[in-house]
Amino acid sequence: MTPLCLMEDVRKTFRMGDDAVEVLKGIDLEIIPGEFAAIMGTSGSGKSTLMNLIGCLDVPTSGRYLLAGREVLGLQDDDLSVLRNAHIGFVFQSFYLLPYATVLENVLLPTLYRESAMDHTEERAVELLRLIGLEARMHFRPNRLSGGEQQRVAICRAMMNDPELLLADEPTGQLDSKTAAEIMNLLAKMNERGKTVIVVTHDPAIAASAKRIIRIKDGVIVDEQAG
Amino acid sequence: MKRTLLNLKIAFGSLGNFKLRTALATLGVFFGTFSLVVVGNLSDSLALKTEQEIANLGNNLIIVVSGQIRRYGPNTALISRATNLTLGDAEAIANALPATSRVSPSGFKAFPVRRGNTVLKAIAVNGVTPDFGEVRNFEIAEGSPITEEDDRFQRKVALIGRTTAEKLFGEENPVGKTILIWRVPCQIIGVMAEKGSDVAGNDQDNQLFVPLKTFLRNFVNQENVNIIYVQAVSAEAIDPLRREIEALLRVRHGIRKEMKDDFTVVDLKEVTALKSQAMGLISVLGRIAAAASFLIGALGILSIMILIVNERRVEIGIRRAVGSRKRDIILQFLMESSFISVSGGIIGMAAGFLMSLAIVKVLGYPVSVSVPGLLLAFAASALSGIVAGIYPSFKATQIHPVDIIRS
Repeated sequence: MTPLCLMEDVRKTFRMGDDAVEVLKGIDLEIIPGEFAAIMGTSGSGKSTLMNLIGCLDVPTSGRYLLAGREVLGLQDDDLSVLRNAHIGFVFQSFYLLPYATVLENVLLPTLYRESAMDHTEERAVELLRLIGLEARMHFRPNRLSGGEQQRVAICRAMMNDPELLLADEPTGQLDSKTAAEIMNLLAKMNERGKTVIVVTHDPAIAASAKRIIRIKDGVIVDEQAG
Repeated sequence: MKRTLLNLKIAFGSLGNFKLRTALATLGVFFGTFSLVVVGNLSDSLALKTEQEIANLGNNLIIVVSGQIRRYGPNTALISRATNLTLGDAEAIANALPATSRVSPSGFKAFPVRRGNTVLKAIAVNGVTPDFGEVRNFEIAEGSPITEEDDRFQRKVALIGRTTAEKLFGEENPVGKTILIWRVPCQIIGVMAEKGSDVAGNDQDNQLFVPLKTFLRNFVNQENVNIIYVQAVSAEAIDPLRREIEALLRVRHGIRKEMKDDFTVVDLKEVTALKSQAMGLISVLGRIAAAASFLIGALGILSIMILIVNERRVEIGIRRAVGSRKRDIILQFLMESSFISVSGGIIGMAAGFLMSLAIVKVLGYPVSVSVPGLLLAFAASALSGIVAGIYPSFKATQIHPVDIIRS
């Protein structure tokens, strides 16, 4: 099967004044469609940088990265935006819903930047909210929802453009363990519906929900195992 | 469209945190459009008023006054003591120059007027030809006009202005009554229609009209007139006819080349020029004030936009993450800044509109709406918002989602 993400000897170097710091030192990674993977590592291990590269928020310094068969290295900022919009749904640790928009409008946000129009956009958003049981509160502002509810809305937002890949960065970092389990269940549900899910975390309990665990340390992948 | 509405809604929510600052920022734009609209409408009203005044004097009118007049303007009476315009001059103009349609010579002087115990000290008494009404746009409201016979037989009849009639007769109908003008008893045969004040600000309803020959013989006992009103056949004929009249009168008065005219042909455009000049100055000052206001407004909006962009770093980062391009972000914030300025601008336009209506009403000018003025005000307010938004919106594109996610 064609991999959704394919990294070959990916390196990332940051310039700090005169010093160059190599954060990723040759990553080889293959994610195939339908996978549920966790990237685990301590802070400073390079897992965030790796996530940014996978999510096309940043480009590698060298190496090859193919997302859905497309070479990412050398793409312009606008092309990266289009790529993210079409292929990737982000879930963040702090939810990051827009405070002045309603729940429904937040879910609709990615559709505002689609290249091609989508049919039945609003019905689709309402359908997603029904799936997470927040349909009744779609006209509320996000600040009237609990943390877990906000994160579920954020997952709907990530699903809205029907991307192949859900990329979740510490999605349970601000939630209690019970709510965290609910969120992981929801991500698992999305995975069952055919989405490829990658969760970035430092928490082994969270990583345990994934079918595959990729450990990263000092900029290299040190260990892979089935979850 | 949907995107624009949602973006505006989010912008409103965000501006809600800076209500006072936003209001202050729009104040500059408010005053800018305010003064542009006021100045535009007033200039138009004045132009309209001037046109009306000139038309009020008479259509295609040329006025020949005896002697030299050096200055025109409000409160400068067009009275000359020179005594060298004659009925013969008037006849010569009428007979020799084909571009004339009517010629109406006229004399005038102030006399005391009495009716019973009511005495008016000085009322302008005009000696006029029967067709003076057509030439000078005077109409008779009641009674009958001065006829050729009245003039030929030097009948002691008079037409009375509305103001004078009210002073002498109050509510009573003056037609048929006799009044004493100076020491000449005259029968009033008609009342003039109201005409308002002339360019110089004199009440044209406070005067009397008697046949010219009656006036010359019974009131001033002389042969010369003060003014000859000449009506040209068309508006285009006015300028050439003016020069012909000057040439003709110079010959008739025996004026040699190096000598100055002993008469003046009044250019009506010059009469109203002073007012136009004053309005021109007000317009320039108003536009300078408007430009300064727009500058201040733009700076205010610039500062509020920098605040807003800072407050919404996360929003911008998220929008970038879910796929907005830099140009989408620029467009969004340019729209926000121009929306702020146009809102202030529209309120300023409305206020300026009401203000100009009020001023025009006080001055008694005709109402006129300057569409170019309104368009200019709108364009200037939109432009100042867009200009003010350029820097903050480019600042916004510098915000990268990577910086937001982990902070």
